[in-house]
Amino acid sequence: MKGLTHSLNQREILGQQLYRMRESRGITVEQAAEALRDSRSKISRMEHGTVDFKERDVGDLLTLYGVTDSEERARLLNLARETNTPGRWRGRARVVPLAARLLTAAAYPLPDGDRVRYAEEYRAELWDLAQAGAGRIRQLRYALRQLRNALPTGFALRSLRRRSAAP
Amino acid sequence: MGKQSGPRMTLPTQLVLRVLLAEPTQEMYGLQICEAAGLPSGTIHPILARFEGLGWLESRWEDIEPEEEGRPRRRYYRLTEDGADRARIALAQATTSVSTLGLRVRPATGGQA
Repeated sequence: MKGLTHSLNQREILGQQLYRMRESRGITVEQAAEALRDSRSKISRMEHGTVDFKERDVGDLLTLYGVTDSEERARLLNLARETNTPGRWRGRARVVPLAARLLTAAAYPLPDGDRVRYAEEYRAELWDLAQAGAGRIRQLRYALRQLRNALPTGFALRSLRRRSAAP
Repeated sequence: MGKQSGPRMTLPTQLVLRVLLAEPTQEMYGLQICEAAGLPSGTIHPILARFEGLGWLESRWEDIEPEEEGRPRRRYYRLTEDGADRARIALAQATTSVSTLGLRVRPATGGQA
């Protein structure tokens, strides 16, 4: 069973890693799209794991993100190759791509240093919900709640930062 | 004029603290806390962020390799020792408290150290 579901899991995982690398280097989606001579939505789809990965695209992104270590590059390119295994298991509970995108938006207004952590945290919760059998409506509802709480969460993070930064 | 120091003890805040205090040494992730508190998923991160910033809570990533497990790693939360004391005091001092409303907190399950 793992073999059939593996390719879907791996796409999301690789997408998450690419997102993390891009964000932590302060590179915009536009810049990444330019590097691939492709659209913003292509980058977004890659980071949410909703498309197959072309090794060349992943390689170009890694170069843009400054990943030069040959072992690291090989590992990630290998991951990309594995995601292209044909055959998806349709019966398995899946993450709704729109919900995943809404969660990325929910993490976006947060302070720079927190964005990546919370994006990953929210995505893990969405995953758990999907695994527990949450359908499209429930997943979207979860994502919308996080989106609605983006400002309060950002405020909580910023006001505490200001407090701890005070002499 | 009574200025309230410390975080506002809204009902969701109290419910979250009650869940965490039920098993103070246990680590829990966000969804788990929501479920035990009877709160809708995706609504408690402002609360968790506030307490983490205050030092009442500490958090860490689950110690797994997402690639190997085939799933994302979770973020676990736990009360600090100081935080547990402060939480107990804050709950005791809360004017409209969860207990007066007769709300029950479901027992927490799971969570790995």
